[in-house]
Amino acid sequence: MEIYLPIAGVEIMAWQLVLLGLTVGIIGGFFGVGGAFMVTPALNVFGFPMAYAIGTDMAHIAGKSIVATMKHRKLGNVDIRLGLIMVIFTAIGIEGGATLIMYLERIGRVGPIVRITYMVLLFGLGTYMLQEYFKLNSAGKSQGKDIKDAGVSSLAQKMHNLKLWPMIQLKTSGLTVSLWVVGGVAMFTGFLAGFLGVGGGFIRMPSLIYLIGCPTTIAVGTDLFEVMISGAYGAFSYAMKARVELVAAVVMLLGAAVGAQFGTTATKYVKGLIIRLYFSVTMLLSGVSVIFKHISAGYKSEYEPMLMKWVKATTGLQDKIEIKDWIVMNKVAVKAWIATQSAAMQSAYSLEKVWNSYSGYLMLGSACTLSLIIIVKMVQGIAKERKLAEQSRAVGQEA
Amino acid sequence: MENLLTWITELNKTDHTAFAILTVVTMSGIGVVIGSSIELIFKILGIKTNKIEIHH
Repeated sequence: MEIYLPIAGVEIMAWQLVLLGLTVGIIGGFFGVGGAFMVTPALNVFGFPMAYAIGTDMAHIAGKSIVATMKHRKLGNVDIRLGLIMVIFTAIGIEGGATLIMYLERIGRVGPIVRITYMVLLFGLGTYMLQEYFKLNSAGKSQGKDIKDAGVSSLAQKMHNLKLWPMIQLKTSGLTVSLWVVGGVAMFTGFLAGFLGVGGGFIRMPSLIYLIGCPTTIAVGTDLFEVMISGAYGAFSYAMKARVELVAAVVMLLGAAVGAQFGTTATKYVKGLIIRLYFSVTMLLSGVSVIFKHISAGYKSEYEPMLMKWVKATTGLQDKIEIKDWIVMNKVAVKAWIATQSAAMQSAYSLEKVWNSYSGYLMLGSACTLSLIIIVKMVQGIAKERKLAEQSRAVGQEA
Repeated sequence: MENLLTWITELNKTDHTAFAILTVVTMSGIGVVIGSSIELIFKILGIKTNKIEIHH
């Protein structure tokens, strides 16, 4: 069934949105992230202009994270005290990051700096977590042990040794840490999120593990609690700017709400160490996707200044954002103008689209594959649990 | 359905605050309803959703 989305001016098959929602819902519930780093490029590939892709994604995250947080709370994975403190300090950090972005925008260096920071972060996190997995896995094999999760990292232990008043007891996480440690980590991750213009779940989840020392499943649940609050704020903020395609967000949520339940349930059956392994691979693939995006942006910079000059001259628009909006909403006119330009500019225009689609398809493919693996793990876990229950029942009857 | 789409599109153009409130309420409402429904299905199927041990 094809649906027309009047706000973003896009026609799309409903099943594409439901499938995207389902896969990212599974991944979000499993990793404790909103999943914007996967949804936004995928929606962009489906024809959504970038601003609408971000706003629509934010709206669907607001609904999906409620489902996942409710479920994680039942599983005992949400440290509410830690989450609430993090939310307050994260907001301060986001403001700082956004302020730096505005400064960089004024000096005209924002795009490449953000993308390169994003790449360094994704590859750095992914490589570190992958290395840690192999180290612990081989240590477990040599000792003949089944390591379920890594212990508290040496960095987190150093953080715990900072006995700055006031100390706070986090019963769910089983930790006692200084408020300033939690606040500092939250401000740091918030700053990065504000700087990169992302929800920041993929930065916060590993930070809760490596800097605060939370067990993996608690980090997943607590991060989702934060995503729930920031997602609702983000959805409201983008809707105020008329950048949310509500119908698409609702259709996506139908898949995502179901997926979030499955992804969250899967954390019950998968070892913390394996969650970290999957997360690290996802980070590395996302890093490759950002490289494609960076190449695409390089081609865009070859024709965009001329295109904006032409729009300015023909429409009389002066504001940069209004000009970009006009370009988004007048694709036919833009294509006609491109056709009258030099061969080099026409080539840059088509190559920008090609590399942009590579970025989106890579994320879409990764999301589908990973969510399938998570579902298989969940089904295996449930089957094993039932088998054990039947065996213990049979033993009980014999006795 | 057609009327609903037209109304949403018009609201998005004319009253951003109302549209923003509608967005958050709709998404939260659907999230809670679907989440609770699946919980119920899990319960009927006998899939436990209790606390799990913490692997530290």
